[in-house]
Amino acid sequence: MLIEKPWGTHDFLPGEAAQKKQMEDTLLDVFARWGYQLVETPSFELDASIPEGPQRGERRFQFFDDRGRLLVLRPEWTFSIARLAATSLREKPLPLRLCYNGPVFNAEQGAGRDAVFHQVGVELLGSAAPEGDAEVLALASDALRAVHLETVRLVVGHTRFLDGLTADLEEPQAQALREALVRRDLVGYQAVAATLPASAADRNLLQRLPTLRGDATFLQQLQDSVQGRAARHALQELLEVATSAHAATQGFPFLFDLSLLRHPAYYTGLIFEGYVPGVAFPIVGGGRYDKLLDHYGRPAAATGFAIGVERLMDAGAVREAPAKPIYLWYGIGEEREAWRLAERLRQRGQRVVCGKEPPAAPECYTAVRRMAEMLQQERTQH
Amino acid sequence: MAENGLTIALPKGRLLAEGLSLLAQAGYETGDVDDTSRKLLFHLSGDLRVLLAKPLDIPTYVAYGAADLGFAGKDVLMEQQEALYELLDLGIGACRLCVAGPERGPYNSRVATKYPNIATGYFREHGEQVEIIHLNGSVELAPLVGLAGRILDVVSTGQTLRENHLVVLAEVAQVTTRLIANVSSYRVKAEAVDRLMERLENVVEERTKGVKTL
Repeated sequence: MLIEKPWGTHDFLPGEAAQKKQMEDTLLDVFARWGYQLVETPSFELDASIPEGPQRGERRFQFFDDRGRLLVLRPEWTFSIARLAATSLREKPLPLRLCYNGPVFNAEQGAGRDAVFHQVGVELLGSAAPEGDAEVLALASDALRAVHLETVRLVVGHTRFLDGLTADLEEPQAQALREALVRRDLVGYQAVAATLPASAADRNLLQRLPTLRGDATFLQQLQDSVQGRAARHALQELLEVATSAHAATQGFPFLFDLSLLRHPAYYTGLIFEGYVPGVAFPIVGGGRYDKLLDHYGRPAAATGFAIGVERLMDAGAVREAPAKPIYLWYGIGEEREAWRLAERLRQRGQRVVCGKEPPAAPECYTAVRRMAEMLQQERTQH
Repeated sequence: MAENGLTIALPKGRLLAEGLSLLAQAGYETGDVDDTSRKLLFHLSGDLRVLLAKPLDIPTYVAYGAADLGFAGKDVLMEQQEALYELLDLGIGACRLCVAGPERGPYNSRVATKYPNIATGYFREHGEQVEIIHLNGSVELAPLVGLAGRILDVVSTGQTLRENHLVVLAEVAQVTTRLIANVSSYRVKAEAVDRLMERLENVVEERTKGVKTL
């Protein structure tokens, strides 16, 4: 019989699983030091609890409970955290600083899209722009540095910049522009932008949008050429956040990109993604979603991000290999004494495996020791 | 993907010469790149590396970051639906994606195509139930031998259709070759990508002007 595993799933083998856990622990430790509290939610939610709208576009794993209600395997963490904040944590005062660690599920196949992948992330609920954004951006930088990713490029954008520029356009046209950017189809974007009425305010900026990327100096210079108030306000906010986050992150380089839009569609402010040389997909992504909690009945300004654990591993974020145990080889009649010795060693934090036979694969151990040898060593140490 | 410089994936075959001439006009020396030898990787001037691949595979190389950039037909991009940036219309390889068949129906419900995803989407949108027959080439043969009533394929001059007594029944999309980029390369190598894109954009603009004045 050929035993297969489902598409898009991955087994973490000995060593890999330890490295994964070590990395998750490192990240969660950083979050804890920033005052974020770990929560867990079920792997699946009632499908009806997830708001209607374009964010539902992704294909999910869905199934029914015994009463015929539609369930969905957690497609991402933000919905579950929002539900938690509005139900079990309803009485807890805002701001809430929560973090999580666990698998998310996606039924859509494609490059870099596994069926099960793992995210470690934070949600900061009840903290408005720009303070909340600066905190989250600085925290993301701190976390990535803790796992030795010094070469991350953080790309930062703002949904209200485009919203501002397109405020006076007919909605179908504005929507066509947004959809092209979400699809990353800059050719399609240009085709729509070319048909904008000559009278449209900031028409020129809209047409140049895909090229509007650069550093903080670039943003400052751009400010003067923006007419719309909402768009200018978005730029101002980006600059403020960048200045404070930059100070907190000791100069992690930001690339501002005003054409950056992220799926899902619930973002309402500053958004960001992080990329590393040599890894083909973003390793971190997040942003502000001030309207999402309305749906759950506890309106609150909110922002957060998720780090892709597998992608961090691809990026070589894990350095140390987990320690190997020593092999304690005992003879006939020595079993009890061997177990007592092993117990003493383990209490001192050593990793010990005991056996009556010589080890089949000695390379799996830091050392292979006979009983007498170990006892001798123990005596000389004390 | 290489840490320094850019790797660009070009399609082997019909469009390679035109693609190379674009790069040459943009100031890259493309001297020894050709697809008649077995060599598939070339180093050009200006830290540019060229890899040659089957046209249908280009989005895959780019989506996984094996190449930072690529030249890919809109037809291939529509079929593969990979997450990548579509940066520039290069204006080469112009053709149309069409549904074609014998001039007079009725047609049976089978449609032969190299583009099963596009065909599925197109006929679903038009509320027509069809059976998609996935072929890897010589699609125009299918109606002649009764494998399918109609085909969905690219049409450039229409010569192949005429020779096989087929006509265009509906146009699905206009196709040209696009410059595409890996999502990570587009950010991590933003400066290099922008430089190459700007050079190509100028070449494409010059060419369109040239066509207009002719």
